[in-house]
Amino acid sequence: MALQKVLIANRGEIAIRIIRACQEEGIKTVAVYSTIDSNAAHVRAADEAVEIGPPAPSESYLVIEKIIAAARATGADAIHPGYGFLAERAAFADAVVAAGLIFIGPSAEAMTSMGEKTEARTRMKAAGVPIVPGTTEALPDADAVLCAANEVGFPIMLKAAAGGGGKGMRVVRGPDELASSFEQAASEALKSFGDGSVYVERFVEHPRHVEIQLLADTHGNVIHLGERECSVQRRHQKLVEEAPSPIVESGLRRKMGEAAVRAARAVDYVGAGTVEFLVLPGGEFFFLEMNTRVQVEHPITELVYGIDIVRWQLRIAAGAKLDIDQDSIEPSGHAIECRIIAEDPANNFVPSPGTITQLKIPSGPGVRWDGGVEIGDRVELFYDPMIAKLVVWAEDRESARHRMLRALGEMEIRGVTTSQSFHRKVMVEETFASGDYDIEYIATVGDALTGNEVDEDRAREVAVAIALFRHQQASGSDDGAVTRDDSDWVKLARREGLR
Amino acid sequence: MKYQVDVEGRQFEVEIKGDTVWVDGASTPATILTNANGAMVLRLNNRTVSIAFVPNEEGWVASRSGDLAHVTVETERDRLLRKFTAAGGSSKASGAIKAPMPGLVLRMLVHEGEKVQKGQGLLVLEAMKMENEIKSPVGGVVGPFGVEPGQAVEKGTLLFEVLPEG
Repeated sequence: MALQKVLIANRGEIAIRIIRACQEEGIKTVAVYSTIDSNAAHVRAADEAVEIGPPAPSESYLVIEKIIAAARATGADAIHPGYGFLAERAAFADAVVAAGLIFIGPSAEAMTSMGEKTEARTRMKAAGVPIVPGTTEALPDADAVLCAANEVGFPIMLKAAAGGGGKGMRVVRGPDELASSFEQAASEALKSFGDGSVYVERFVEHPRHVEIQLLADTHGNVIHLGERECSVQRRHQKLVEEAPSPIVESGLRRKMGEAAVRAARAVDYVGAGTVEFLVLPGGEFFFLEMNTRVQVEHPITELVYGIDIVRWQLRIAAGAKLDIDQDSIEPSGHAIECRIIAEDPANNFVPSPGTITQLKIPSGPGVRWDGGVEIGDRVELFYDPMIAKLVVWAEDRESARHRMLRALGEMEIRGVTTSQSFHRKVMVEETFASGDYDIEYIATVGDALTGNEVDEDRAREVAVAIALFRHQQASGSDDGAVTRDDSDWVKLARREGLR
Repeated sequence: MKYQVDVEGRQFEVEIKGDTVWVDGASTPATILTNANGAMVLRLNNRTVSIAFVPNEEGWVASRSGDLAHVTVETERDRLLRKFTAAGGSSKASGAIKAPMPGLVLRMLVHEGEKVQKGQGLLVLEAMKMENEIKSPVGGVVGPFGVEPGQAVEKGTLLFEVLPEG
């Protein structure tokens, strides 16, 4: 049964990405929007749109009943959650199905199994997927933690059983720090997830964050689309991703891919999903968690495999059979993604909300732009500050790196400060250029990537420009604000008029 | 006319006479091709350069393909004027700390009267679900707070002042 009309329970670039996929599959689209988003880019892109409440996500994009009511009102037959917002809420998947609609994603059961960290670890262990050494159940008190810690060996990591994202997480280097760290982790977990249970993992130092993309249909077929390297992170926030990973060769890719497929099968997974692993320099890898949704960084996989992940999500939801043979696919070339966010890298990445007054989108060979805003749109404080994903593909890593640098040079965004300069610095920074980096990358290289320093030649050009600007203003010319181009156009128009 | 320009701490003297531009005494071919309220395209030597200038409190922020630089520019007259007003001695320059974006004041990292270094964290402001540390632009002594934890602030709200040393 093909889908006729899909409601996208999201906003920004991912809503537009999904709308594009729907259009290519001949499916009608419904956007939802908060009052502040009434003329947002995703609303303009959709066939229809329904208002769902005030700007605060808790009163609009996170309200399950409003979204289901919008789907009913427009006659949508399926809901795509995107990422973030309700994408990994089992209650949402349940409610969608209970309303007689198709949820474009896995079952609520699969989400719950993977969302609860200790249950996920238990299941993965049983399925033969390597997990970080530690406990598979929550620990009642500091004594039990000490006991477990002695078994896995210090340093250890205390983690919240109920969730991720760095909340309720503590590194403990030795027994003396244990009691207070346990208290802190438990209270933070309780505050963030309403559940104070914590468990113990060995603290893996200097790992790389590598994830495997999966596609699974409703007929029992599961394939993997290789890995993405996501180690360029700041506070658990990915900023640059690439595929393939510089350290993964075909043998390791097969091993990790097979482990990820086992993970998906263990929870009867359906749809697109991602298994995150920590990888050590020797190639040893451990299951970290499964993201039961489409990932922000999915385009780099699409580029190296030539497979459209979002269109496959739609087809799988409609019951189509995944007719891709695992042995017939392998990555080709190299792709890099930079997340262009409205934050000021020189000022500790503080948010920079505002109106986009100028937007020059890079293009040319091998460049893809998955954007969420256009000129005149506002980047709002309420939502994810990502403006766009700039993605490039080239035949090898070096070419891709240079292509990204070229594309970043073409890009011009005004009205908000963005991470553009940070990305350009990363592309030429020698550790990144060598490919030999891990999740400590930004913490280690840090300041070299975030300053405002300007070299002598460029500074001189800026100096000449501002002096000329001042001079033009001061010469008090009546046409001070009028550009020479404008007046030439006026002259031309006059000449044309005389003909 | 002579202009003293500072670009991220680098100083230049730019002199403009008619159609000729001298930078630190060396003549440089330079013309404005377009200028729409500070969004400029210039021809410098044989290079065509796009730079956008946005005014801020101290001067200008120059943006070139996302690379930002803080810029000040003044003429001889500006400088004399500044000297004169400074000599008038009414206000000593101070480190007014304003909210760089709308957000929620989470906690103070210093207390009133504390001595702080330039770059030291003063206060944590939550915005876009992130905790952002606001740093001191100058070294000095922390003045009275204008806000308290839990308070929502608009961009530009005065949080407090750091009174520079000396």
